[in-house]
Amino acid sequence: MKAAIISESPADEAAVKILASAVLRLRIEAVPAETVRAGGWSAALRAVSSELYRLHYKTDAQALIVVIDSDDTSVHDASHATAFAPDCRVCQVQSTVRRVQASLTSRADRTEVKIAIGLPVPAIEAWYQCGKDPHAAEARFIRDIESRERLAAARAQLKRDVYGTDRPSLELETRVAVREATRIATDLERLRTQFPRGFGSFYETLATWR
Amino acid sequence: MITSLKFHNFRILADTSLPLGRVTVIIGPNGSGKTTAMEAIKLLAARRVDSPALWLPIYLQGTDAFVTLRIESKDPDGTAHYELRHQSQLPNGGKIIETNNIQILKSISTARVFSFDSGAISQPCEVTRTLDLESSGRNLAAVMATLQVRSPERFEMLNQELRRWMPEFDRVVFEIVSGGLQTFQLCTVPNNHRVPASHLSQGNLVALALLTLSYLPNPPVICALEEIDRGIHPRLLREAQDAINRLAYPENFEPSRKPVQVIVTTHSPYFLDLFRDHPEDIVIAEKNGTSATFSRLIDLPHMHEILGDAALGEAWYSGVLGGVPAGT
Repeated sequence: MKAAIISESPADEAAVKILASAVLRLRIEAVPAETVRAGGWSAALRAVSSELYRLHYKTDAQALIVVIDSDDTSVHDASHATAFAPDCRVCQVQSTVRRVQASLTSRADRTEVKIAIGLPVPAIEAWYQCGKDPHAAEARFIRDIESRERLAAARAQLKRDVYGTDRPSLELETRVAVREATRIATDLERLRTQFPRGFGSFYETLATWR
Repeated sequence: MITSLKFHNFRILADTSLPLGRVTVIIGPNGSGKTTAMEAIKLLAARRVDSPALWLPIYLQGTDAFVTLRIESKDPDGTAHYELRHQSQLPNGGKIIETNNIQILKSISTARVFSFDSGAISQPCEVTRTLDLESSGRNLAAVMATLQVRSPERFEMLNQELRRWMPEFDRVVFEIVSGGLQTFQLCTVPNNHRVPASHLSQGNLVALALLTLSYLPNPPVICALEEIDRGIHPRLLREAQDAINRLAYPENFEPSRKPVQVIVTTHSPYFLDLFRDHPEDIVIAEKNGTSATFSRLIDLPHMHEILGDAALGEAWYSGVLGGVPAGT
């Protein structure tokens, strides 16, 4: 399957490609993103609209896969389907996608680009800890977010746990991302169980594409 | 580690202090004292009290005015300071150097302010054995060639990193050109074609100088980098940040080397975005009429509420963090 992947860094995108391929049970041929961005959530959100236009008009890619960290923001749930939550990043991506798709002119030679959105809570490093650290589970971080705990320290600790430092190089991040994604891809059920809202819903969307 | 650099009547920096960490990223409009702070570091490093013209003081308090640059440091052994003062009425021509610890003088004397100049980097340089990279990067060819001879493992690591930064190139090679001068070329990946330094882009030349600096076995203990984003493509800024972290946090790369304090100035919101997880590294330079001040981002009241979910670069551009040109 040809798909573009947008995440917060090239390292995250390498991991997402492995995980999405594992869910789809087929190899993803990644369409390189052309949007200039340095990294981070806002850059990823900005890239969604420009990449969606490009994918639709300039490529034969079938899908756009977006995975962004929740950080301290609301975690998407079923209630957001009827009430847009402005501090929910999934809602913001969905809103952007709807706006762009509504403005696209249909093309006879292609179907609409499929969209899947994943939300690691609070950051993708939590997914990498799946199977290693039982405390690094979505429910705990959601509790912290809902009680207005600042997660900066938790995110820094996750980085130290995963990379050995809270200032990893891109090379180290990518190496670890590939290693950990390959490991957790062998037990997706565990990842679904521990991260039901951020990964579980992502998994279910991808599973419909099989 | 140097914890602050204090200014009194030093050009636009009438009375302020620049807080310093292992990494310090200074943002602010033109004329807000960023370059002046870099000049101060150069003066302190060179102990240049002999040339009052370099001080260009603003005598705000009449004839009694004096200019002071003071560095304070904190180490496990305690605190130290080093102060340069200039007061024209003093019998020795206005020069005063004061310190309570000779070690701080030694440390600051190796500080270097880099303002990489792609034009200078691309020019052939003398064949010398040196690992002392000049401020403009003019002798980059000689430094890389020396690294290849004295530390081939480091040079190989530099080449590996080069391939990650610029995948179109495989490695650095050297050539002696007319006049016995030395230059370098980059070999392309598909066909080993050699691209001379003079044909490389400005951004690639500046990036290579930064990369080389981060792989030196003994870089200056303080490396100040002016406008680190100059000419570098936004997609390479993450790698530039990695080079800074390699200097400042060697324990993650080569535990035997001592940390370097890195001070950078930037106008790039993309570069700033990369420090979202480390707001303690950010210092905002603010121009207030005829003077300027520095303040740490984390000392901004209600910083988290102000930033919210926004990227640092966006927040800076919006003006809510300060550090933007007046009237914008």
